[in-house]
Amino acid sequence: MDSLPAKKAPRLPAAAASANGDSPESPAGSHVEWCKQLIAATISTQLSTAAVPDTISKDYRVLRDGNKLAQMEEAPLFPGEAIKAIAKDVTYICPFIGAISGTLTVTEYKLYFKSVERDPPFTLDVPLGVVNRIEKIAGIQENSCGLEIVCKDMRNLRFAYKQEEHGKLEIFENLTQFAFPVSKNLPLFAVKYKENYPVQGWKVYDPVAEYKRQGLPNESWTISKINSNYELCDTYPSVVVVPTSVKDDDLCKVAAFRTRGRIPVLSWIHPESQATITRCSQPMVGPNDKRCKEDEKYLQTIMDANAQSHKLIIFDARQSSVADANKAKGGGYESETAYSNAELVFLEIHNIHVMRESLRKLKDMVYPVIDEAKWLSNIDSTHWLEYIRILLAGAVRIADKIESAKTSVVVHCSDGWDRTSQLTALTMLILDSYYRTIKGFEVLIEKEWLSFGHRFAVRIGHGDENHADADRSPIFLQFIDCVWQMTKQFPAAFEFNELFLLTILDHLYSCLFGTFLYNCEQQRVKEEVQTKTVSLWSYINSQLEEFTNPFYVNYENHVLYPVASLRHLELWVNYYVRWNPRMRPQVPIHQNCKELLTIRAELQKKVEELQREVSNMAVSSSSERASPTHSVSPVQTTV
Amino acid sequence: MLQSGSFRLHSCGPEPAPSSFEMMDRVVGVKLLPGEKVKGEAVNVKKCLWYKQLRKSITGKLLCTNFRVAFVPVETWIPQGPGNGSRILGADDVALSCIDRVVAGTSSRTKVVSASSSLKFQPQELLIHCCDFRLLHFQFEQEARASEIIPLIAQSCQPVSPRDLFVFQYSVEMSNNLDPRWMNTHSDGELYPTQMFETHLDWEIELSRTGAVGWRVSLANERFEVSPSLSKFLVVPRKVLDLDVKRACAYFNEGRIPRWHWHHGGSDLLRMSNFQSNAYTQRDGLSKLEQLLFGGQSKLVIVDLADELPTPAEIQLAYNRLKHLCCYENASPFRDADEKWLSTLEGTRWLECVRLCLKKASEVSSLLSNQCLTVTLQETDDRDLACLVSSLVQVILDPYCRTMQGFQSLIQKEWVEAGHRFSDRFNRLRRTDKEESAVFLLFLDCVWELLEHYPVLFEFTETYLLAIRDSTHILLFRNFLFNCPRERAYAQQSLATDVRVRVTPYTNSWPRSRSTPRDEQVVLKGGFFTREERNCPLPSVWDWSLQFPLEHQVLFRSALYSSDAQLLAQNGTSAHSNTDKGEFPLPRTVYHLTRGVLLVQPQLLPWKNVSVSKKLSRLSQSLESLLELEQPQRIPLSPSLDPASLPLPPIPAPGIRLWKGCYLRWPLEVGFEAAYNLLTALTSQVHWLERRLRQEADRQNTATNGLDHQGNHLTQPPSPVCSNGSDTMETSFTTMLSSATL
Repeated sequence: MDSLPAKKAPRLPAAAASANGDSPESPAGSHVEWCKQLIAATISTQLSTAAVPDTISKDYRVLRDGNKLAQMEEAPLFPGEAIKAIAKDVTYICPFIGAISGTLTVTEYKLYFKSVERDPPFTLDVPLGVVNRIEKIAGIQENSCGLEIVCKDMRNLRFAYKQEEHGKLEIFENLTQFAFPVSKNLPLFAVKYKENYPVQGWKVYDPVAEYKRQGLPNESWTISKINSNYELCDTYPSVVVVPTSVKDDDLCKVAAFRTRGRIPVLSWIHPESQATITRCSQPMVGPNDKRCKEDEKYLQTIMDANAQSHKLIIFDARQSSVADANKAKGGGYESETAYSNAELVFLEIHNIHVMRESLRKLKDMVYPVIDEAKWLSNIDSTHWLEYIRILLAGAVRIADKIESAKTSVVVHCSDGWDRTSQLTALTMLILDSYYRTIKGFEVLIEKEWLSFGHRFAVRIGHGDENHADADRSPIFLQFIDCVWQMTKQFPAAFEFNELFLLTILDHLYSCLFGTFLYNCEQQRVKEEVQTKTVSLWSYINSQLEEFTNPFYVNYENHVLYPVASLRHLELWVNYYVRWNPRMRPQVPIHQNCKELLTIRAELQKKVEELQREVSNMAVSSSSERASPTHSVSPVQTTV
Repeated sequence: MLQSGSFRLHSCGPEPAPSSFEMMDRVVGVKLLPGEKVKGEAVNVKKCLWYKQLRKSITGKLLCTNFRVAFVPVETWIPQGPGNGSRILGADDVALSCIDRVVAGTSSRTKVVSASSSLKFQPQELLIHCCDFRLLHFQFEQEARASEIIPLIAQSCQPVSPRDLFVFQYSVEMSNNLDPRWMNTHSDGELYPTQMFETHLDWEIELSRTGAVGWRVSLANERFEVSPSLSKFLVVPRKVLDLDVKRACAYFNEGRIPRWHWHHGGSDLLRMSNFQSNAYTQRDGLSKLEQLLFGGQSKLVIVDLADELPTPAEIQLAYNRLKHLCCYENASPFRDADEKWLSTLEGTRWLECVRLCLKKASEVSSLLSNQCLTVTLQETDDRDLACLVSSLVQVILDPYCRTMQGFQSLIQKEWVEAGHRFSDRFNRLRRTDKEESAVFLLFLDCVWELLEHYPVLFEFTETYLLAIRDSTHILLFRNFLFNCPRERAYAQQSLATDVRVRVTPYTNSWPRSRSTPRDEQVVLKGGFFTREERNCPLPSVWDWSLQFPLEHQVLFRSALYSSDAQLLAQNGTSAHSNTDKGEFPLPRTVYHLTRGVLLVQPQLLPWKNVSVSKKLSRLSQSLESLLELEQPQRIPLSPSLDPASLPLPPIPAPGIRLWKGCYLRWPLEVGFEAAYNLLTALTSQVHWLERRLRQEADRQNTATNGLDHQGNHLTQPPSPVCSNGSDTMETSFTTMLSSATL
């Protein structure tokens, strides 16, 4: 059964090399490989449960007696990675297939468990970055003890080992140390990770080039250097686009009126109508309905920059009741009396705590046990898809205002770094086909998420042991889920495939790359992320073919409105339920697709060659028969 | 070669085409089928494209014929719905047999109109609820017209007697070959020749294809005396005489004796109905009966399909709930969506039905593939879930059944010829609602789930499954019209008479007499006596060219499928076959499959416990103790190592999804382009390029020979067949096609 997919989709050379597991694999393709190994592991475990339950083949028994077992169960390492602890005879308590005995290795980067009892060997390769919490469970039996590792990526791991052996104490300590380096004042592994990729991912995003692509600066908008030292706003990028006519002094006054100085700046401009998406934080209206002339004028200027409409729509992502409550805390929202010509719309999106709670419930539903009979209603009860729907619906509303009503919009929530990032990024994905390419999507993340200060370190809790931190929330995961929903609805509109999204999410937690570290651009500059760490995009862009959607068609200038209706949304089973071996990975179809595309390209070439030959022949043989050289009509139409 | 009796037009000498037909089409606005007549029409009708939101409407006329309700727009417009590519029905048409309910309404009231009811008010609106979940909504400018045409539609879609069905007029006209417009439609024939299992030969071929040994095709039922609901041909152990077969029928419900359906590895799959509980007196007949039951094996597993599976009534209940949920009327995109969508969906229990069927099928599959035994599916009347489970098992294990030809043959073998009561279950004649059940549609849904998970292993696509599904709503094909082969045979006979005599008055019901069918001929064919019906004019659904042009049929074929001839030929790893084990009956064991556990239960055979019947009742009370006693043997539910099979373990709930491409395809929202369409577009493009390559090569040859220079201009690449909702998607499709240059 395993042989069938393998036969249909021949493994890549890189895959074959690391499948042996003994040679240090080349990191290029390592994630892909890792996914494949996971798949192989799940399949193999299923095979072995049925076929050879609890039997050890003779060969392995011999190995076990000798000391070679440890060698065979050794972890492959990245350059710069060092083993910190090894423990033999550890039992991994798999919720799906039961106890497996093997060797547990802890390095600075990962936790690696391998058991050669099974054929093919069972491996578990978990970056320590995904660890949320580690708990030691006192043994039920006297000298055994357990380890429960709660992960951020929808799974928990349980190990059992005998306590008496001295070496195993180290395991727990090493785990806590390297899973939470920030709390222990240790560097993250990303700075030790030394790998040279042929592509330099840090060069993917150049803000000036990106604004230039959008046609900026123009007469109304200018690329401002006011924040080049992060003095106006420490969580904004150094390069921002603001209306040309607004003076720096006024900008400072606006910044004083907006939470954390996050003034309205341009995110995207419509190439034709000049309608813009601007993002900011809430105005500090406070309980006394404070006003700020400069801010009012500023928004008026934004509206005036777009000649197509005499209105400005302000989308407040929050629930109106929450926005009201924020007034008491000094925040609030733009009143329509103070801001003439502005229309305020609340998108009624819940806060980060609600989202965190929703994901927690979802995890309970999908891991490890699934209640088959109540699966759908259980998913319903988490409201996860409902929140996805509200987000998508909000983005569709914003996009519709820009595209159909040609009206400029301002988007904010409280601080303008969570819901605002989700909404602006999704809206831009709907409106601009550039962001649906691999490079464009990378730019989108770099721009709307990283440069505008979505607090990744806080929201994910990189290397931080305080797992109960109320600031953690799966905001970025929600965004990727929304993108996945869109790819499901428009399977040919995105250049990237599902693996691309899965890879981004995996390295969101892994701390292998510097991309998602720290909270804002200023911090990243201070920590010299670009020189000290490797970018995730280096890794991805070095092997683009793995992440390319074979059906991609450039829908240039096409606005894609996803259907934000629950009946057309689906739970992303391949992400949330992927640890369940029964959710067997589908037969890989991408290999077939690629083959098909190659065949088509070859045929196309042949046809053209033959046509050329024929027409040459026709010309050479007799000139009066000129008519048959029928025009080469390549299979091409234009959108 | 394999097909028999598939509908063909015997197009002899083409008559000069009278263009009056085409003229008529143009006047009517609809391409009428042979024998189709317009019964009424209403002009100035508005068809609403967004129900209740009334975002768009087009004006045109509404036609009611004896086959369809058609809407002919005044101005030509591009149909927005997912075009079905059908030759028979336009995008705005609905077959009368597909109409579920006709509702007349004004702004204040609505009323379901039936054939007998009379309208007591002037309707302004007409709602047609279709069996395929579509909802057509019309508004009338002239109310007088509305009160004429609405009752007409209501009457027309409820035929009084089966003989009023349009298919009979259609077939008569087709056989008489009067209408030149349809003359060339059948020249393509069947793209995928199907074993119809209407002949002896097809069964013989199936026996040899699967490698079954020790079986023979019996003609004991050729007069439908063994079982009125079974096929004429029964496959029974070679050792069992026809006399014994005839005798055995008394022990089974409806006489549906255990009979061979399929062979895999070393195992055989049999089907039978429940034991008839009365007399087991003829002690001598019982050994033959057991021989019949055990086939050639010494181990028999009886799979009771009443266990763990939904009943046909439950399936229908679930289906009705699903219909209510998915119906266009209830969909409100972009507005406050149904917050509890998933819970409601779960509440329909439809997906649960799908899951249970797949689970049972994979259990049976693992039994069959791992051991040498006889698996017998038992159901009360052996005409519903037995069809479903049996065919699912074969789809899972037998790669041939995942080809189009094989799948069609499978449906013929397990459903049509096995006497699934299509007529009652679909209830298109509105005889009784009690018998209605969407068992066949559930089967298609189950296959779709498998297709979704293993797209590479199927030759056909979702489009193909949808085409089959849609065909069940058009009562035009003999496959889905009748309750059993007997009904079909009689209907075709009397029709044949009609064709010859060319008279159209029909009797009111199927001929029920058991008189010898006269219109049969004994032909010596390949050493077997086969009975062929000389006239068999009812069309077959597998003659896809009747319904779809070739361009559309291309979409039936999956691009991902790579047929591996070796795999195809392989049907299970051939385990040592222990059939034909000699004269002496081996010690035989009967197992019972229940909740994934095999139990030894000799008392399952009712005649075994005539003497211990009292004991049995006591035993069954303490089933738990029995379980311990008998050492329940777990079926190793391991994935089969056979590379040709689908991976076996049941798909868990998260993997079972709603078939949105089917149930949610009508609401005209921003459309989806399912990946399969892109794929098929890609393949059709590859095919097109290959064709073109051939042509170019020919051109080159002729050019070098200096004979001909007039290369054929190939037409455009295969045109996108499916357009879907918004123009974005439509253009996307063309873009897709255009992306030839990588």
